[in-house]
Amino acid sequence: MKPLEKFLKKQGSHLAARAVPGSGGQLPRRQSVSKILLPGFLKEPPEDLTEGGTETTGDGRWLELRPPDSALRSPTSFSSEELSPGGGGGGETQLSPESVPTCCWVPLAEPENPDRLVGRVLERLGGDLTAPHGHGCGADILLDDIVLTHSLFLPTEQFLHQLYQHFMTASAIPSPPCWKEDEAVHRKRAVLIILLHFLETFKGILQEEEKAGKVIKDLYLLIMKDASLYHKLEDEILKLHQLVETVELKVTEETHPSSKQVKPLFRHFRRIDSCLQTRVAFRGSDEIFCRVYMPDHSYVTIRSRLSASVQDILTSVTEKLQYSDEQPTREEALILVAVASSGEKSVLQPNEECVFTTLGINSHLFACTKDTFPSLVPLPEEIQVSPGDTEIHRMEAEDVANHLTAFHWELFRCVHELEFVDYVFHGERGRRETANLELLLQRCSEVQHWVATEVLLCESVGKRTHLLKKFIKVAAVCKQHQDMLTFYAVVIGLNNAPVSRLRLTWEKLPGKFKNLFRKFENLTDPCRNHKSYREVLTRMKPPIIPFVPLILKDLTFLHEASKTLVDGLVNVEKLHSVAEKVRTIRKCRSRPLCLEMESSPQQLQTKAYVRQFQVIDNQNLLFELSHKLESNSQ
Amino acid sequence: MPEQSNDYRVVVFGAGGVGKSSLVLRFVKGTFRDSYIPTIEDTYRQVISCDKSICTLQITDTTGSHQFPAMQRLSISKGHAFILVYSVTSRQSLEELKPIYEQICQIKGDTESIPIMLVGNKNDEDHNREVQTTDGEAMAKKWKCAFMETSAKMNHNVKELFQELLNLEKRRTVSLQIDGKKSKQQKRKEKLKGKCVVM
Repeated sequence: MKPLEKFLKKQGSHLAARAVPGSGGQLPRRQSVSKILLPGFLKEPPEDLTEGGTETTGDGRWLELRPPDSALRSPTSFSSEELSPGGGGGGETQLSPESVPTCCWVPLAEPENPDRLVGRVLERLGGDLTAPHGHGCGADILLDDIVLTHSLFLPTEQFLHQLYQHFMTASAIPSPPCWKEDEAVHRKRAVLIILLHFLETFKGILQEEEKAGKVIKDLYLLIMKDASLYHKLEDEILKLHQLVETVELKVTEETHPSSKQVKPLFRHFRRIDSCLQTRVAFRGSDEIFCRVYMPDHSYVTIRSRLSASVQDILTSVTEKLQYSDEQPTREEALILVAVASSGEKSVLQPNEECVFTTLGINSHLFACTKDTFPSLVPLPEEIQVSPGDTEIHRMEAEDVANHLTAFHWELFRCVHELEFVDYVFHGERGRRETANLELLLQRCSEVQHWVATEVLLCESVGKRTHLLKKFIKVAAVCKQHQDMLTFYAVVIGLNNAPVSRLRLTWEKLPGKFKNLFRKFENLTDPCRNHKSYREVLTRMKPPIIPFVPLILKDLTFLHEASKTLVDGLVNVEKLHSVAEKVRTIRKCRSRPLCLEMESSPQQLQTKAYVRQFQVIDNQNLLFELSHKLESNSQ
Repeated sequence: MPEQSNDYRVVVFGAGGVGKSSLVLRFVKGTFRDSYIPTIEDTYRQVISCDKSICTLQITDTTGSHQFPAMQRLSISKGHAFILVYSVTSRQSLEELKPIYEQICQIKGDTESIPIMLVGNKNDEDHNREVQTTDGEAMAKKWKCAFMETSAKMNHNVKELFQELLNLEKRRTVSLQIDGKKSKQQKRKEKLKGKCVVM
């Protein structure tokens, strides 16, 4: 990475040098940092070209890579209508549909440092007020970019504080002599616009941010104080009232929502009754149950905040085990260790937070002393080889696929769009919980292991072939539902070496299914940066469940390929590209997914089965099973 | 993937605050504490002897204050023996055992071969007593199970409780007493026996 960074720096200074100060209005087309870097770095352009909806980047990154009218630029998959507000994507109302696809994204007049960027955006928003439709479309996108990605260069709390400061300045009497007549109102309105969009975008997750909540509260009170003076701001203020209410910010004095319901998060809480309920998003303050094991496989179940630190967890465990009371000196301090089913151990640091959702599927938390650490062994596998039919054999492929898609849609909907940003960029800032995204990723790998587990636990060749057929059908139906997450997971599961090496089983598969599976393999082929998949995705209209790991890969690429700050100036093009990516996720969810399913007892059984898989995630064990089934296969 | 079939699983049920965890912790760790931390579900393991070899006694301490019907059903179906705890200072806590007892009957069918111990805990608090010893005995007779009064605080009858419970097991011989060396010898003997049969 060293030469890369050097290269970036060079380009960065170039960028800064080229930006002519005071050029005003249109920015002279400058060369983008990432663009220069890319051709040698990656042969093909990232997904943006094909994943649709990114035409608006035109002015941004890829223009010089490929001419705008190049045949390789695939058509947008989403017409402007599909970007329509209120479609459930959240925070879209500021983006007027007609403006997005057509107009060019114009970054700020000149690069700015983090502390002054917000001021620039405000100027831009305020300046555009004279436009007939409030503010120009370019400003709309800029607004969305900043709200989605400000945390890359400025902690949310400070971002809000700056808004507060700007509002204060605009309230000063008399206003600075250089300001025009309505300047103060314009500036205030600009602050309001950002705040409104911010609230709409963040929504429920704001409840987790105490400090940010406090700044919003202050700003809200400040706005209310002189709201009556400005009739022109009436609409915005009305909206603000509504939003503050829906966000449930504790504007009135600390009225803590009393006991939240405890959510059972882990697979050892197989509560059929609760697993059938629609999943709601997890928040850091949610209380969950969690088992912590001892070296002898005894366990205690503790109740903990999802965001609890490792130290908090250890304190609860110690308390439960009555360590502190009776043997304060003799007992060595406990450490918390995650032990995977393969026996792999990793010690968790006391200050780590929110570790529950980052565990592997069959990993468990162990509390032990340094002395007993070497003796830790994983829990015995829960699952058993059963010679007879397991549940999956009695279920229809289509039903299984329907329930999978329905469940994964729920999980996907639970992920706040900002979790994607935080997941990739959290290294640069205080960590916000990304629990829902982590759970979705965990589920994705669970489905992969489920496929392998079911196939490998089936002892008869004929039935095994039948299972392969069933899984291929499941993949096909999921693809039809545009649930690419499940589709990918099932195909990857079938491609897992312990399964794919079962030559006898695959040979018995009818030609039709062999061909179908070959097609699926081609679709998931990562070559040319997942070209086939991206092309298929382009042709899809929402609702879509995208293959989320690829989105994270793309975001990681954006993150690593260009710096956020170049010589102290914010790389707004990077912010824009990240925000564009987030907007593709928004589009996927802009329409609700409705699958028609009966609620017969049989269907409920399938639903329960699909929502609580028991899988083997130990690759060695899967291989062992595979060799037992077909030892001589190559 | 061996299911630990030689585990002997004891499940402790009872209303919230009757002293289930205190009994279990007194037995497992020999400690007692006055403070109350509601239990969700904890399981402790201890080595015991079973049919002259070593096995693991698994004691599951369940919740009295949360409602987890599915988890309760699972514990019952997996359990080999049950301890039903009430507090002698609360008649209500004895009443609350009824549905649990009925569920054990329902899931296990023939309860007579299953060791069940009705336990009146906190018998050190005689001044607060609401349930007389005779009441407990009568209930045990009705349920055809064994009965004992204990005090986790005073360490009264705690070890006896677990030993008695294991004595009730007639399908195999389980005992808290293990003598490491002896059992090893026995194991070896059995191994030898096995080999003899093969020959």
